Amino acid sequence: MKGLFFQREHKALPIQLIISVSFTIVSICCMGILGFTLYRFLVQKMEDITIESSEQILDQTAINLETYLRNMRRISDTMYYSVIKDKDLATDTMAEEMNLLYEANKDNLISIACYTNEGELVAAVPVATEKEDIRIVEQEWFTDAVGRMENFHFSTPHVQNLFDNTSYRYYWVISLSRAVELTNNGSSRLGVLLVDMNYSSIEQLLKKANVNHSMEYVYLIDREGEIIYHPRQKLLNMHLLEENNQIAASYEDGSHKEYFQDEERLITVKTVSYTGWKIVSVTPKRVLSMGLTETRLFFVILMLLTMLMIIIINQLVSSSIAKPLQRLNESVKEWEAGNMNPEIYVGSFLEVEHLGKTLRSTVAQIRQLMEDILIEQEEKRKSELDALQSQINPHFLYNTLDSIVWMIEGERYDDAVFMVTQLASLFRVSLSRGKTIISISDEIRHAKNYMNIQKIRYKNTFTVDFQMEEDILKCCTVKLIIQPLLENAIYYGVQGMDGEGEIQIRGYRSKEDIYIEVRDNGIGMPKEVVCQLLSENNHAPKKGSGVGLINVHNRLKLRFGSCYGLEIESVPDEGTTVRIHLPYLIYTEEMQVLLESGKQKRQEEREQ
Amino acid sequence: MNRYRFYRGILVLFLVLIGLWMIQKEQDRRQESERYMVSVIVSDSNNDRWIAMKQGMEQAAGDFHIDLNIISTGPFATLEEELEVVRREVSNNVDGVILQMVSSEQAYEALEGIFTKEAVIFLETDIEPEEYFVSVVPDNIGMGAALADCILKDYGERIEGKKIGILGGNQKQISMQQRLSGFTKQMEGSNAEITWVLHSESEEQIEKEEMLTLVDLLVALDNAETEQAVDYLLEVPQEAKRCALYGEGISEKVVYYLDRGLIQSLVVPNEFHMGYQSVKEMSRQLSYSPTIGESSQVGFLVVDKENLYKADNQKILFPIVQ
Repeated sequence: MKGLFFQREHKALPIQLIISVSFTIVSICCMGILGFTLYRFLVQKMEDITIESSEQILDQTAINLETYLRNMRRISDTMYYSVIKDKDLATDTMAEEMNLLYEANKDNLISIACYTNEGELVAAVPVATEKEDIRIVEQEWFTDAVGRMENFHFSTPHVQNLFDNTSYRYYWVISLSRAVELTNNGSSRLGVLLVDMNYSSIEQLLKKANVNHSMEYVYLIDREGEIIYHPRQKLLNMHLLEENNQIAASYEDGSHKEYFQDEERLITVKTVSYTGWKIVSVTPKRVLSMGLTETRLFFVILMLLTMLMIIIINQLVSSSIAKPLQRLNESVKEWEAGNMNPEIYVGSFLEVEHLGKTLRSTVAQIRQLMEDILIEQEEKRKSELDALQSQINPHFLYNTLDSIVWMIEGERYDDAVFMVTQLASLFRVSLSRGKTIISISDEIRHAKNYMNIQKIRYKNTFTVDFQMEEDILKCCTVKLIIQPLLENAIYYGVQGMDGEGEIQIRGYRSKEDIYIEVRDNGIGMPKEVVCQLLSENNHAPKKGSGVGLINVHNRLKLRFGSCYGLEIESVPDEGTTVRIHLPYLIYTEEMQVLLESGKQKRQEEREQ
Repeated sequence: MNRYRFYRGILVLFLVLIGLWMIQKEQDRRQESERYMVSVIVSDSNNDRWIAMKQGMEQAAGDFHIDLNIISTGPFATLEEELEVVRREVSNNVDGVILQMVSSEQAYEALEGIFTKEAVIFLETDIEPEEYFVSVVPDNIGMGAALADCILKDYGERIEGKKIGILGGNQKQISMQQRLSGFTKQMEGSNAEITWVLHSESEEQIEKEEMLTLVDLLVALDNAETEQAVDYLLEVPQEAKRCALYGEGISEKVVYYLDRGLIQSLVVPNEFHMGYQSVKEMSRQLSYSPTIGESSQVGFLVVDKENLYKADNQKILFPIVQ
């Protein structure tokens, strides 16, 4: 687990991703905090606005209601102080003044009536027949007025039960009653003045406050909590709905929160002066939530859009920062891939430009260094080849001169002359004006010269047979490669076979390759010895120069490539075949120069 | 780079989903705010007796976002006359119809051919067979029994030998049949005699004076019959003093004559509740499924001159009319 952690920890991430993700996280965190704070602020603000709006509605409704009720009291006052007090019931009638007052206010009034303390009707407008068997003194408005004489009394809404209306109309009224002093024959007696206000007028006032509020509503209660108006009053009357009116009666003016029927509600209360009535505004909490749902949705979408924009901007910014670095990285990758002359990006930011320039300079320097090393290596190889070649010449010269000395000592002057002639020819080819690459025909001539010399040396104890295809004679070869093989064939193959030794040299072409075989029927070698012959650390017994096959093999490989060189097949007591493998290259001046310079080999190596 | 495209793709997808969600919400909101059109067809719709019911319906229409159209009609004489109005309303592509059927008999077959997808609720009276449609009706049997109880309470032992005449109203309506049966059942064993039962659709014409002289008690089982009985008694004042009237009704006229003492007791169905309940049930059917529905009964009130002005009774009996 720990290992995995470290593995992950050390896994390099793209700079653009790191920048983009870091910026995005920081931005989202900031936005989240900002959004939440704004949202809370908005919620509080909305609640405040709702309360304020409710209070405004209540204030307006209260003003309208107070104005209405004040008018009613004025009517009552006018009736009492300007009419009743001035009249003696025994002599005067108040019908005319009452009628005037009624006519002036009949939109808001149902009736005005004056009763004695025994419930006897003194006067009433509009003129109507009093109901039979009616017990006025038992009616609530009457008992209230008589019970507390100094006050106005506002009743709760009720159906007027005073006059007979043959059109079957019944009026909902709110009775304003007060005790009055009636004068009859100079003596005063108690009476009750009743102003029945049209309930519809009050209903209309409150209906205005309930317009456009589907869930928010306003209702009116008296000081005991009895409902005077409610937008769903009938449902309340039939107990199909409940209202928290009794509790609301105990609320002070202002805003309150209450839980009613498992619902949180915002209650705003305003008391109507003089009557003690209370206008109550109810705003269920879910109304605020409903409004907030839209707002919440708006906030979420706004935040999502902003987040998207931030992510895109972050990507653009991070891309503009990371792009130059990525391009620089691409240049390095190209260089890594082997392009020694890559297009190094230089530009954009100061730092990247500096890095690019430095890298470009470094690449140029390394390229120069590598070219120098290459030239150096080529020189080294050339000198190595020269050294290898120079290893042959003294070895061969030593052997040949040894044979000539031996002939002269044996007074075989003709043979010595022949030997010297052959040696001269051999050296001509060997020198080849300093060339390393010669034609196969020259090489064969060199080999023949050599074998002529050796045959004399060994008194024709073996036979030599050259079978060369004409086609290959005009091709290129490294000089002095057959002679060491012939030398080995003599020393390790046919020497001491008393005229039965055979050495066969065969040259032929196979597709684009040339093979030159040197075969002897000598003693041969075991397989283990054959395997060691071409290895650098071979311990095969050496005669002659001690350079032998490995020398030729290395020269061929150095010159033509690793796929060329020598192949050896040997069967003990049957003989050995050494096969030279060369490319089929026609000998021309250009080819000779090309091969001498070693470019041909490098080209082939690259192709491989 | 692929990773960035992936994140970008996720974000775009997220935004698209949010968009689709908003569209869905908007559609839901529109659906919620969609107002259904409902027609109300009752006999003699401009009659005062429907005031409370209309108030209840209008209250519910406001509460449940229903566009209510109370069709102006005269008194339906026949079922076919009423069906003609129903057909006309259905052809106006209403979503639902609230119906007070003039006859419970043979109505089912006729209505089955008219209504295809509209929601239907029966008001005041059901039709036969009762289980196929939703109805909102008063406790008709209870109302009949309550009328009998009033008589039994007022007369006590004196009921023995009293002759009762019943204005049974439209006995083609199940509601009226139930009221009549409720009344007669309750009166069983009282030793009072039901002298006659007059149906409004009866061809038989009886002289009013003759009718009144035959009975001591007049029982009217619906508003129209009570108003008619009041008219009889007003026309023959000497009989009015002898013949006591017990009726069912809610119109201002019957309430007025209860107040005047011409009617001894009045059984008043809670028509506000009936109207409210019918529209509420209609809204439920339209919003969810027309196949789901539950018939309901509403209560009634028994009032006499003494308790007419009691606060609770006032609130039900007297509509607030501007």
